[in-house]
Amino acid sequence: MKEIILIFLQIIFLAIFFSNTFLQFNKKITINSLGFFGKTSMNLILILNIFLLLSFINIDLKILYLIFFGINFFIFIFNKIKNNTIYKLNIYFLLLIFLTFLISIDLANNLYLGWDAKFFWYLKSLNFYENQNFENLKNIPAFDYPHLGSYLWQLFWKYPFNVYEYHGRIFYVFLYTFSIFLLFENLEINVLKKIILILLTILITYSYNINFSGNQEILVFSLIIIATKYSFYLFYNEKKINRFEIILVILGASNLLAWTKNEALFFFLILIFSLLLTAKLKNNEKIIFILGSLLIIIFKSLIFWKFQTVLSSFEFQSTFGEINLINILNKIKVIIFYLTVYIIQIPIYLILAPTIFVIFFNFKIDSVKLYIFYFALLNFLFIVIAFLFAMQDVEWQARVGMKRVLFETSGFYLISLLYLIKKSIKFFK
Amino acid sequence: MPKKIIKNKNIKKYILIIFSLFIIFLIYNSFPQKLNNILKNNYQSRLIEIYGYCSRDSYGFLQMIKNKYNIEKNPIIVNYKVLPNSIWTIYSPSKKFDIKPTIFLNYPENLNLVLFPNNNKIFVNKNDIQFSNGIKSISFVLKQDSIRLDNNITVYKIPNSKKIKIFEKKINQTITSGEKIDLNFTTENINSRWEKIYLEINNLDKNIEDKIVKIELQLEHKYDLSKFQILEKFENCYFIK
Repeated sequence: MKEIILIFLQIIFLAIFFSNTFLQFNKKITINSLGFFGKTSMNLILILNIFLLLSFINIDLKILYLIFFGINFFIFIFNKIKNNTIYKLNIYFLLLIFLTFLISIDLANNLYLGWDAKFFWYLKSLNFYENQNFENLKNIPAFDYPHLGSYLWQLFWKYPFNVYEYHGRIFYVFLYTFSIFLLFENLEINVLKKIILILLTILITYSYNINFSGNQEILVFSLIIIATKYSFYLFYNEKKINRFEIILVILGASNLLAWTKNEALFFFLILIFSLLLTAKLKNNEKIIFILGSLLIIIFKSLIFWKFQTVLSSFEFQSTFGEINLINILNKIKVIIFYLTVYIIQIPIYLILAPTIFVIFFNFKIDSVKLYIFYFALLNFLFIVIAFLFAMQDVEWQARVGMKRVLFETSGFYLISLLYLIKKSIKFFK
Repeated sequence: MPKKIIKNKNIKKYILIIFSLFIIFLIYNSFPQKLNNILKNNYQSRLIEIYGYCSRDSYGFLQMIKNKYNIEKNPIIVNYKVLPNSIWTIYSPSKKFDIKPTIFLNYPENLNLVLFPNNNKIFVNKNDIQFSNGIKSISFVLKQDSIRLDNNITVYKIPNSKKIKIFEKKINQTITSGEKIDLNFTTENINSRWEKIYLEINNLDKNIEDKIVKIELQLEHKYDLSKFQILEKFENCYFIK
């Protein structure tokens, strides 16, 4: 029973921790006019970026974390008393807690770690858990793989309870359910329909082995959903949110993506490039996007350079060394085969494919449709090229890795559902 | 008023859908069984159930070693199952690695590579082999008592589309079923964590091929535990000095 209670308390802790920061005292921040999930997403992106920076610093951060947690909890209580909302319960918040709890029970029961998780993600996490610094990651396999997910894993394993390893992974569950709730927030449909959409999305995307076995794809999936949701505000901004804030959240999520998985760096570049092509951005907005993306890449490159990171997990030298047309065509054939097989195996693609078909053939071409089109085109092109050159044994790599890579960006295509609801609001109302 | 009735009807419909979706989610994920498992079995026993005591990652055995012995360095673990290294279960980032293997998991008494007929005079392995340093002998399991061979046999693997010849020998003798033919060939190429191992018998007569059920290669252990002092043993898991 102790474990069950601790799981519940861990989820409550996470929800309070991310939903309260000093940002909400600033009335000028227009994202504060969004609902609970909108506000919390802004906090979440900010806090995770702060944690990312702290992960490079070699000092004992225990006191800092405790202060951080204490302040957030104080703000939570203060807000509740100030707004006289202690006894008011938000149905979505309750549902978020409940669904996160159900999935966490699956996690606590299963406990299984995937291949890559055992091989390096968990070891990276242990490195920080035992207060070793970033540089010490060099003693662990795959130093060229990013560390943010492992860092967060150990952080929420250690704080607040420091009992079970899987408490760290409950954060992954929280981020996953949270991102889905965020996606459907502010849709002008009734509460029950929204809940149905949330439940359906969880039903079609939830799978323990892909999502919560310690691998990082679920973080990429969730962060892409957050970035996608905010990018949708650049097309439809009824809440009159400051576009600069939207861009900052997208760039914040992008920075986290770049430090979660190597390929996620390309996913965020594809997302931003597609936005630059399709969203009606002002020149200064375009400049912020471009400079922000460059800063993220430069920061990552600097860290790679400072720690003399070699891309030892990949075989670019040998794959680029033996380029010939027949070889490439054979490899493309293998990649397309696995691409097809895995798209069929991932329910979200199967279900969203008709939605995309409907919106492309029933409505006039507009910027959102072009956005989806460009993202999909570049995303699949990237997957083909990455699998073509990352490893010599393309068949093995596609067989073991492609399903997870496809899952990572699948959340983006949920934008087609938002678009369909927007366009057919009378039907959905 | 009628409008309200329709609305209420819809509410009932939506609540029913939500309720059904919850039920599907709970049943599909066997939630009651999982909750019961957490309540009945503690964290450690659940981990042992998943990773095995002395099977798979051998979580239980490794935890026992960690708790019983004061291990100053991260041990080098040799696991004969094709899995990520089991060091993750007891790894300490602040410690250095030992220089030689001290923990052996799922250690088989005999290292045998079993090859079954595939097609066209080629036999393919069904099991994976790690930590061998040579081929001791070869034997044939036949449908009849004996066959006559006067052929070249070649053992090879094809990592990254490149054929690597591991062993080649001409066999010219009558072979009885199960009889071991000494080869005594030293090689570590026979180890195969990912790739298939192929055994090809050149110019093999179709009639003779049909009489071979399987071929076994008896392999040399790279780590012969009889030469070490064993500190702890549980089934096929060993901790040596």
